[in-house]
Amino acid sequence: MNEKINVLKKELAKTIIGQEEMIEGLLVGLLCEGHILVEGVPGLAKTTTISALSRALNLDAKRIQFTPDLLPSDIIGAQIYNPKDHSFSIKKGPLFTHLLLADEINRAPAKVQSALLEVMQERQVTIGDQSFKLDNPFLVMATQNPIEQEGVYALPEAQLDRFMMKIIVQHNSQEEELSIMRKSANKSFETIKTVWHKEEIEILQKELTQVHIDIELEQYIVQLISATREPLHFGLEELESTIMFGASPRASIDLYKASKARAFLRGNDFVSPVDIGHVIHAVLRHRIVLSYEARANGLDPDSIISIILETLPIP
Amino acid sequence: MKNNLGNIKKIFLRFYILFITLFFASFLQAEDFEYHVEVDTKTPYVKEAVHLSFMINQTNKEVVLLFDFDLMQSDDYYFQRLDSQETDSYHNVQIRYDYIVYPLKSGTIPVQFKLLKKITTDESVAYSFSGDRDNIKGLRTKDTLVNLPALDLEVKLVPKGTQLVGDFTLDYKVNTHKANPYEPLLLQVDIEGLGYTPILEKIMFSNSKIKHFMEKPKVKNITSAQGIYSSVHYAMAFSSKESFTLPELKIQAFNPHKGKSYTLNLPSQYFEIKEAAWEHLLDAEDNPKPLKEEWVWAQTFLEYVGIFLLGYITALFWKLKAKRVVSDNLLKEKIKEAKDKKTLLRVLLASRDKGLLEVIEKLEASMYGNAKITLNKIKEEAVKQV
Repeated sequence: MNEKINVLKKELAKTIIGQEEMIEGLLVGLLCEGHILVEGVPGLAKTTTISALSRALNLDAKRIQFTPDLLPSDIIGAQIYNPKDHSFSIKKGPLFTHLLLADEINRAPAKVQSALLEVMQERQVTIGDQSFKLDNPFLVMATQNPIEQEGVYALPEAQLDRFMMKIIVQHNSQEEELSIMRKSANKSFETIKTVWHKEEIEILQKELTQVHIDIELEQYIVQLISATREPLHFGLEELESTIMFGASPRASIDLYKASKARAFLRGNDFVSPVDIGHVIHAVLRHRIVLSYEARANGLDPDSIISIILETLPIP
Repeated sequence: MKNNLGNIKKIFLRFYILFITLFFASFLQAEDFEYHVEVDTKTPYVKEAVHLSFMINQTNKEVVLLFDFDLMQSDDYYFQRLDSQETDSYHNVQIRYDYIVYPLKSGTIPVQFKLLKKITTDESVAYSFSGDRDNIKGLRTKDTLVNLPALDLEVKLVPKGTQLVGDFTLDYKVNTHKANPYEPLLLQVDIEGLGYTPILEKIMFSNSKIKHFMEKPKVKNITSAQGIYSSVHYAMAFSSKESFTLPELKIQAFNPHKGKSYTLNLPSQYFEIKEAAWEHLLDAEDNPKPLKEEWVWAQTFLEYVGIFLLGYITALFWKLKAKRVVSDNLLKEKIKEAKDKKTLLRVLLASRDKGLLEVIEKLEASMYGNAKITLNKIKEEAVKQV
């Protein structure tokens, strides 16, 4: 199993240099049937990653640039009238794919965001009076630009909760950037080959369920999530005034699944606290709503999660 | 007999000047209309009232005529319109304008006219009255400026030294002739009568011992065909330390109807000022008392500075405190202080330091696998990696 993962990572590394966290997040999302929200400045290979992943896994991939004038029918599809035979035909939208890059999701108005997020949850699209099941796998990688805040429609907390993980993409190291620069200038990026098939992904998804997680770790996950809601109960007095809303039950489910996927990707058949510790920031950072006081003090969700992680005893 | 004849001639002349209205009629014909000018005298004195009438009669009945008429402004004369009367007929306009004119200089004074003739149509007049609520149009006219010859007045000089022209009386009022030092003494002088408005440039009493205050004269005019009946009120006040006398005031006036000069008199006025007990009037001490040196502002300023510094220091403290959470030194301290492997793992996982991944895996292997590594050694490795 570990070998397959390594083969995929190597293949992706042909065009994606660095960005391990984003690649790992996408694989976790793919295995857990979750969706990923990526936040990062432009030019950090977000589109390239989706494109490379689709080639390596032989999956369909589409990209939608979200704009303020986008309509729900632009993404889910619409009924088109045919004047020749006076009938309506279904024109499927770009949602009908395996990997979808929803670029700058916060640029579209709430109705479009809702349409996408509903499909992410239901994995089913209704156009007119016909419903269509989406193909498996279906992974949405939505991006947000942290710089520009003018003219954007911020995703509400309830909709952010539908994303399994929020990955913050950082700039590459200087060595990595040098390598990117050279390869790009010389056009020496290698072509990605298909290393997995769709059926293999389904097999891996089934295998993932076999990964063992100890009951103490399950309780540990629940405690971590509960600590975001009732920090006082866990002796975290300092966080009492910093958290406005804690993580939802979806967070427990996603942390549980993501921890197993992380262990699976490492080639383990059991989950350790290290796996939980590695994915907890990505799973929780978009689900914790900070108070005004916390934001004024320069705190961010990651630092809150670190305090919880550091305080709660590991089983 | 000779004297009697001379007297008869003089009386006749005066009678002629005073009671017979001189009819000056210029029956002049212009295009579409005719006009007439009438004055009661063509040989007035300077500042004597001349009653002038200007009449217009429409002769071309085919057109609708409108007129704008006025005398032209000049430094040689002053005028006021008394009245204007106009018929309501648009094809047979008859207008009469009445003016009172005061020549201001002697010699030949040309009184000039400004007449604008406006030709329009019945439709245009009707539309300008009723109109359309959404499409308003002004009265459209074809305007022509009519050149009219000036009316020359032969203006006679008044006797030298004349200050007022007309039939005036002078009245005065003093509030008291006895007062304390520097107490105001009020004097009111009223000049009224028929004639050119009796505004004197100034009524001043030159006396270095007194202080003289004066209001702007208050003028009331009633205009009639005979001229302007004016009432001018001069209000003034005097103040002095000691008794004084205002000299007699004489104003030379000329009555043009009678052809005689006369004098308006304000008799000499004596004002008695009482002796003051100066020693009781002067203050021995300052009241209100002189201001003390005020330092409240400095106290307030220091309070604000103190509050600002407290706020600044608090903000700085919180900033440093927040930074300490992520500072490397703090992480190193936490690693060193970890009492067992589980605590160390918590600290390392919470740090989110990518460089510590290898150490974390080693620690994990020693905790949940078969690898053997001591707590101190793993701490050393972690501190090196930070």
